[in-house]
Amino acid sequence: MNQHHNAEQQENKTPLRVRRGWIQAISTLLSNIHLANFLKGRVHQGPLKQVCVPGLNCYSCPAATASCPIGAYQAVAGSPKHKISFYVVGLLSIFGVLMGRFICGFLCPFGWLQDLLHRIPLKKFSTKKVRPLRYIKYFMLFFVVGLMPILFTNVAGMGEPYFCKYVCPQGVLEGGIPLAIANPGIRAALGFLFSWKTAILVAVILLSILFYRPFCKWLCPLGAFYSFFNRVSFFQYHVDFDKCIDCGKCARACGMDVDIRNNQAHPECIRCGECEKACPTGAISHHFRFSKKKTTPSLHHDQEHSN
Amino acid sequence: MNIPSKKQKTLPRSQKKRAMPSWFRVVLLVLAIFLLLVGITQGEGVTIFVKATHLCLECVGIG
Repeated sequence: MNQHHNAEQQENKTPLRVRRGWIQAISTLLSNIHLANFLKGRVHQGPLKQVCVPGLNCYSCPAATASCPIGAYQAVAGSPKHKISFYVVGLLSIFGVLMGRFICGFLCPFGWLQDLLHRIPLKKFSTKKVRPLRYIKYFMLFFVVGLMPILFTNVAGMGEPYFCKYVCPQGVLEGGIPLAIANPGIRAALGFLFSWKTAILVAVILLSILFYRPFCKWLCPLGAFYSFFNRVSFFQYHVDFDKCIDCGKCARACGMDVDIRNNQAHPECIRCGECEKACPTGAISHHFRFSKKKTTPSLHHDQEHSN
Repeated sequence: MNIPSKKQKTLPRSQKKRAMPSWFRVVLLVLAIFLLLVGITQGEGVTIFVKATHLCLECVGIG
């Protein structure tokens, strides 16, 4: 019986989960493929810049292959011709329907950075007591990204990319700092705004060491957008309640404070697979499919949920 | 041995919550593609291209 469970668990450890770090590294590299531009100190100008990458990756990074979806949305919404970017909403919805927040867990370069920082062996703190902070990211999405470029415009009717300008630490990390190092002209132009954004970056870095993915949990408008798709995405998690022994290891392993037994499509779940790894009975699995698998939940769980 | 009861045939609350018909996903996907095409026809790709191929002063902290 134990052997059977172990074999099943081994099978269920999923190469996907095991290879997550590599997938994140490759995704970051593909999002920033023009590495030589770091030395040149200028932004890449290829035709792929019309397309958005699924994760948070500043298009002012010298190596950026394509555009940042949040920056792209604000660029369109802030232009006098448009108020809503159907292009970006459509593209992100395609990503969302296919993968949901799998993108946060596997494809986002800034998510990967936070994962790496959290591996620094210092004391770690839980974010369970500050759960309401997660709603800030919806404010960022709807107000700062969606409404502010429309509401606050200059005389020419143009709105600024407020999230990119005042909040996003990725622009300073990927764009501001490397460009300032390589380009004396840019270095000379840096002022208070750069200091402000650098302070946010430093705060996010420090918090990422102590807490798991603070930016994704509390601030990221992209994560907020994808969170709506966790329930509908083709990529789904499944809990086999016949196998589940309710040990709670999955909930304790989750850095995003999700108990997958209660909700397999929780908006905060970034599909990292830590719960799947932690499960001693192999009850948790993931799938990417068009049709929903039929499941027969156990009496044990049925009774529990009816209570 | 577990004898299937009448109660077992119904999904627990947690599974009901995640249940989503496949056709709904396909409809959303089609809608998303439609939005994308609308955006392309309105020239949003060009706006993004122009912004993304020049240094975004706000993004890098110049202002």
